[in-house]
Parts: sequence; C-alpha cells; structure tokens
Amino acid sequence: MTSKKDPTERDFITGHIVLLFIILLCITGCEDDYLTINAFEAEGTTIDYNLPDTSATLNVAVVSLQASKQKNDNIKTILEYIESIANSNPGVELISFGESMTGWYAGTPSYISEIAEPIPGQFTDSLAFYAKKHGVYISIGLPEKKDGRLYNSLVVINPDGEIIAVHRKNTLTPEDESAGYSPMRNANVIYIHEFRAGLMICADVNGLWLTKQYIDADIDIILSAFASPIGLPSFNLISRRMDAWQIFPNRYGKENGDEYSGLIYISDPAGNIVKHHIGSVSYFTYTIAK
Amino acid sequence: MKRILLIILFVTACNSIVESQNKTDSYEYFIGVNPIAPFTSLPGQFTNLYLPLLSNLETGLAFNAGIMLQRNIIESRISIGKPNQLYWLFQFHSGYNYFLVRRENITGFYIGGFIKYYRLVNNRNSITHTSIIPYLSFGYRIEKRDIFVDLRLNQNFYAVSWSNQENTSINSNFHFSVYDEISPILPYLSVTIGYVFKNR
Repeated sequence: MTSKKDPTERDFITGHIVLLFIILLCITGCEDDYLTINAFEAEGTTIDYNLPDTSATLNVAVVSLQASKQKNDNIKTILEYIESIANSNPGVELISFGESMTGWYAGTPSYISEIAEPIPGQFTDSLAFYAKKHGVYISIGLPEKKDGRLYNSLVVINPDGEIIAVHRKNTLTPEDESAGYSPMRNANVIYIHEFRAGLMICADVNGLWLTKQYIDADIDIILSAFASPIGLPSFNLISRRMDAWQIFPNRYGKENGDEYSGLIYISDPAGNIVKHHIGSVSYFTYTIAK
Repeated sequence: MKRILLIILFVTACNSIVESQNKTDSYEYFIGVNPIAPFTSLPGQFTNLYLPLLSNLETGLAFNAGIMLQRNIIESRISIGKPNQLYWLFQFHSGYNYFLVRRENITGFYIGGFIKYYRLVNNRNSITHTSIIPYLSFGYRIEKRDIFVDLRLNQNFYAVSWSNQENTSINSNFHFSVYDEISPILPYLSVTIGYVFKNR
C-alpha cells in the first residue's frame, strides 16, 4: 500500500528539509584560522613516494636535546652539538634544533623574559660563528625579546654567518600564552641551497592562514621547531597537506612536570616518515631530494 | 536416487519462485540522511578529530538510498562536503546488507559489506588523494510507519590509494584504522534517519 500524505504534512516535511539545507550551508561556510589534524585526511593507506632522480639534494641533521633551566648550560650544549655534528658528518648542510632551546619551554613570563634575548644577540652571534666555521645552515628556536614583547621565535643562519630569517610563532599554545609570548602573523619563505623552505613553530601547523601561505609559495621543505610530547605517528598529514618534506626537531626529557618524547623525524611530501628517532637525546642525518 | 535428486531440485525451484514472488510483493525503497555529517565541518578538535568517527567519515551533505527485498538491502551512499577549509571530500559507497532476523516492519540486526570511493581534494594545490576501500557493516534498523533509524558499525579492512602528487605511486594495504596510534582496529559509527516508500 502506498502511503499518502496530506498537503499540510508535505509542507511540514518540505519546510524541515529546506531548514536543514540552510543550517548545512551555514555550517559548511564557517571560516576560522584553525586547521587541526583531521580524521578525514588519514583515510586510506599511505602512498609511495619515489625519490626524484635529480642532483638537488640537502643533507640535514635533525636534533633532539634535553634543555636545562639554565640558559648558559643550554647554549654550551647547543654549540657543542653543532661542533660534534659538523665534525662527524662533513657533508651536513643544515642542522635543525627544536623550539625554545635556550631554556625550558614552559615557564612564567619572568623566567622567559630572563632567558629571552634580541635577534641578533649574543647567542645568535655565537651560532653565526659556528655556521661560518663549518659552512652549514643552522635553524633553532629561542625566546626573543623585541620592542618590549616576547616572541617564541625560530632563527635561521646561513653558512656566511648571516641571519636569513626570524620566524615568530603565529599560533600560540596555552603554555605560550602563560609564558607571556605574543603571537605574530608572519610567513617566512627562504632558500636553503635550491630548496624553498617555509618556517613553522610547533602549533603553527594548526594555522590555516600560514598553511595557505606556504602551499601558495610552493615550498619544498617545512623547516620547523617543536616542543612535543607525541609518539611516532603512522604518517605525517602536514607534509601531505603542503606537498613538502617536513623536518621535525624536538626536545627530550622532563621539565617542571612536562615530559617531551624526543621524537625527531623527516617525512617525505607524501607524508611517509622516512627516518626517525624517539626516546632520548639524539640526532640523525638524512639526505632529502627534489 | 535420481528421482530423489529431481524432487529436491523441483522443491527448491518452486520455493525460489514463491520466495521471489513474495519479494516482488514486499519491496521497499528508502532515502536517508546522515545527520551527524554536517557537523564534522565545524572547526575544532572534537569535530575534526573524533566526530568523524561517529559519522562514518562522511561530511557535509550525506545521503543514502536503497531498496529492501525481504531480508536483503541494497544501498548506496553519497556525500560531499568540506572536512576543513583546505579540502573537499567526495564519497560514494555501495553495498549489501542481510537481515539476520526477519521481523515485522523490517526491524532487526543485519550484516553486510560495502565498497567506497573516497576522493579528498586539496583546494589550494589541487592535489587529490583517492582511495577505494572495502568495509564490513553491522547494524540495527528500526522502522516505524514510514520512518526508519539505522545505527551501523563500519569497519574498513583494505585500501587502495593513489594521488596526482608528483613522484608518488599507487599503494595498497590492509587498512583497519585511521588512528593506528590509538587503536589498530577502529570501526566508524553511522546514524541514518530516513523515509521509506512502501510498495505492498
């Protein structure tokens, strides 16, 4: 028996369907500068990435260090690591360190203010000396003091000892906010040899605006700095989103109740993690190509 | 012996004819909507990370339609939407479910299998990731008058994926979970609310 509806009931159903469509349009039209890791991007299996047959390569050292609360101890460790990595790996072209490496990542504004310094400053001068000495690029995260504000910054120094980029964190975490950092909307694309690199600090990966900037700039590398507790993911969605290699340096150990996994990795543009280390202070080198 | 076999064949054939006549007498069409899918587009950790697991990973406008014949359901699902501001997602699923227990008003548990075409397009760089994914389904359907509600668990088990990204090649593998770090096997829940067009 075919069911029949009277006109009032049909109008009622039609009205609700139209209302549902309007609600759906409003929802799908929402704009926000927020782009978290997304279940939809993880569906399906990983896709093989075949290293291109080209002469454009970059030998990268990715570092995981344990930071002390004392700035001077950290600076000493960082410089020793640069010396050691460069001496043990003569072909290395870029040494990449994690976020806010001159002290603990989380702290009070007075502590962060104490370890922060201007860029250029004493610490970046020391980095410049070693970059020039070993003919390497160095990227490292540090708290920066600028115009009376604190920024969670990432500095890149070239083999001539020049600062070629200072990236300030766009998307702050609650820890950044309680540490007194200010956000800054900025995107920085630099050349490291033939590779176009976009700079990001940790939660910047959740920023829609920055992600769009780097996709539009057609970057080859996401040069990042992390303070992350995460374990090894099965693959990296951020690389896939931006069609770029990601260099993921980090920190390791306990800091005032917070624990960092020491996970460091490099992922290819298809999101496959091609090399990683987790669970200790360490570094590895890997040659990326385009 | 031959006679017995012939009798068995005859009875089976008659039974099939009677059953098929019954089927044509009682088929139903239905259309439905996934009411959770639109909310997975909202920016936020819960809506982007976890809510998709309750929407069968469907987003935006998600409809389904099918036909029911006795214990059998043939169903197709289609959805299109933006899982976030960077992507468009189009999906088409097609499959078959079988009621384990036949009751009045087509209410009861069922099992089945589907295959889905899953196409994720990055609208900024036009890179697409496409997958063909077979999955198993297990659910419960309640039908009252012309309205039905369908609760279902959907478990992927394999995927063939490819992309138009440079230097990539097709890959296939077992695929049971989108969050391997959380659980190696992760079924998706789906809720469907719909309308039945009866023909009896």
